[in-house]
Order: sequence, then C-alpha cells, then structure tokens
Amino acid sequence: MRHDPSRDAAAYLGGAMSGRQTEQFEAHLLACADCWQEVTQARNGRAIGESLRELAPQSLREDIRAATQAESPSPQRFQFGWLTAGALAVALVVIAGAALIRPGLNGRSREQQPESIAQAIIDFQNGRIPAERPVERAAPDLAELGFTVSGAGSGEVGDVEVDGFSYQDKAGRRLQLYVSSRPFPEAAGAKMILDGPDSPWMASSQGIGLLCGQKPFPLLALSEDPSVLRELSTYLGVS
Amino acid sequence: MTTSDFDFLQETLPCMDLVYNLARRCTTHHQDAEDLVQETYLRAFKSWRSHRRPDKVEAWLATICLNIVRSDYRRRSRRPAEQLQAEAGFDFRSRDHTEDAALESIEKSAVHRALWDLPEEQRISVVLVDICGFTASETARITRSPRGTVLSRVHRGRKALAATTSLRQVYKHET
Repeated sequence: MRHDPSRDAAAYLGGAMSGRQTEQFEAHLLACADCWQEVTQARNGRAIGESLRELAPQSLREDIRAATQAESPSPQRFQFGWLTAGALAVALVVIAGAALIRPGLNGRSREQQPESIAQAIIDFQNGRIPAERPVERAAPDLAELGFTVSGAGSGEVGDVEVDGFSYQDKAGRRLQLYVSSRPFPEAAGAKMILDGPDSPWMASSQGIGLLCGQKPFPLLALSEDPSVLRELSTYLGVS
Repeated sequence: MTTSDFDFLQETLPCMDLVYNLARRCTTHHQDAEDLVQETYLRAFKSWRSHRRPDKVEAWLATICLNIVRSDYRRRSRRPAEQLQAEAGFDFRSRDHTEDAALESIEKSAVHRALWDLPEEQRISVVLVDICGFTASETARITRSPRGTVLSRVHRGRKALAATTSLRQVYKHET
C-alpha cells in the first residue's frame, strides 16, 4: 500500500488498524518524521476538542422533564373513564391523608420563608450548593434509593452552617441534602409528620418539596418529587 | 406520566450531556443549544410514544439532533461574532464565578471559534468523535458517511484545530 501519512495516522488514531497493522505502524512511526508529525498534530487537536466538553445545565434537565410531562396528553384517560375515577379516588385518599397531618404552628404565608429555607430553595432551583470549603461529613449513602452524589460543598445556607450534598438518580431526579449540627428553622406552611415540638416536617414551596428532621441528624432535604422525600425519610429513619 | 414515559426519561436523560455538547457545537449561543436539546428530546419523545425503541439511545438522539440542525437550524445558524461571549459551562457546584473560571471561559470561546471555522462536516465529525465520544463506526452511521470518510474528516479537523489553537493556552490552568 502506498505510503500516505495522513491516511495512516487517521486509521491508526481512529482504531481502524488491526493489531498487526498497529504494531507495524508504531514501529514505522519511530522512523518516519511525516507520520510522527501527523499523529502528534492530530493528538493535540483531539485534546483541544475534548477540552470543550461541558455538563448540561441542571435547569435544562428539569425543563425536559416538564416539557415531556406536558407532552403526555394520556388520551386513555378519556377512553377508560373507570381508570380516571380510580385515579381520582386514590388522589382523594391521599389528600384526605395529608389533611390528617397536623399543620405547622407558625402562621407565615407560603411566600415568607425563613432566610435559610428561602436560600435552600433558590440554590435547588439553580442547581447549586454551598462551596465555601470542603465538607466535614461524608455524604449519606443513598445508593439503595438509586441516588448517587453529584456534588458536595460546605458553607452557609442563610444563617445555618451546613454540609451540602447533591444527588441524582438515573431518571434525572434531583435531591439536595443539607446536614448541620444545629436545627433548621420551620418552613412556612410546614406539615408536622409526628406529634411533639421536635417533629420532622414536610412542606412545599414554589413546586419544591422540603423535608426536615432532627434525627438521625439535623437535615433539610429538597426535591421536586415528594415521593423521593418520603423514601428518604423512611430510609434514613428521619424523626 | 405513564410507565413508558418514565422509561423514556430513564433511558434518555443520562444522555443529556452528550446531546447538549453536540447542540452546543451546532449553535453559537447557550440558549440556542438549550432550545435545540429540548426540541431533540421532544421529537424523540414523540417517536418513543409511537413505540419506536432504538438499539442505541445515544446514537438515536444524536441523529435526531443533527436532523433538526440540518433542517430548522441551518437557516438560522450564524457564525460567532467577532467578540464571542464567554460561554464555557458553569460549574454548578460553585457559587463563585471566579477570575480563573472567567479566563477559562474566554479560552474555551477561542477553541469554540476555531471549531466553528472548520467545514461543517469536519466539525460535526470532530464533535461526534472527540466531544461526544462516538466511535468512527458509530459516527459513520449517524452521519450516513463511509467510515473512511469519517476518519479522514476527523483527522483533518483535529489537525486544523491543533494548527489554529495554542495548546499552551488551553492547558495553561493545568500547569
């Protein structure tokens, strides 16, 4: 075959050579300045291209989820009325169950959240966590819930010092968990889960669910999916 | 949301970085790239709901994205302006957009511009192989080109990038 440095280097770097051809070409490279230069230049160009890799914005993931849900007209809903009725019945049971949860004691409106709660919500919306210093605690392992850590950082959320951890599952659902040595303030509209002054609570604000508890450690968790928070509460034994 | 819809998200959301990177290099602005990603996912979703189940989700999404680029976006695509905005990816883990991050953004913009200066087919081949991580064979299927042509385009594109962009500039922050 005719000697063609460009073609041979392209085949070599593109993995188009057999094992024997690769060995022969690598031996040839040591003696051929043209081929050596071709390979070196292309490797440099590849490194430059790879340097452009970026992470998609977290907000885009949420936009896709929302857009996909909006595109789900579920026509069967109207074709099978009994299914709709069943779903409504289930929804009513859930709502009734939620009503049994004791309302929070504070009377703030939903918009007037304590500083640290408001900051946590804003950070969740923007896919951020504090990053003033390295975390002091290990991230709680939530692999059994399907969540892996995507970020960690320590700092203040409002006036509460926290270690913050971002998690994500394969479906793109996000969970943000703040762990502190002191309790978080109660969110406006919080619903107490148990009786007693230190009861864990759940709340919803701006479409984001919040879970807060004192045990096994003071924590505040946020997710756009309330079922994630319920699973987390059970898994960690939040009380 | 049905189980099928949930399956769609579960299968495709892990590919979002790949689709986003492809979209970023097919458009000149972040917002255009995000719009392109959304459109790609919506078209994929419609196809999914009509019971299309691809063998390789990544390649499927990339093909849809490029088809949109070739139809709708081509007429709208613009060359980057002389003064490109600093548009490097933002590290969501940090609240502070530091000076280093700003400098890195400017350098990435220079590389982005060098990539845009490549002929379209070369640019797309380089993006698919070097940024999205597809093999030459996969890229050949996505672009409906012979594998040898893809290898040649990628090679020429890499050489052009190396010639027009200073490696020292790109890796300044690593040393």
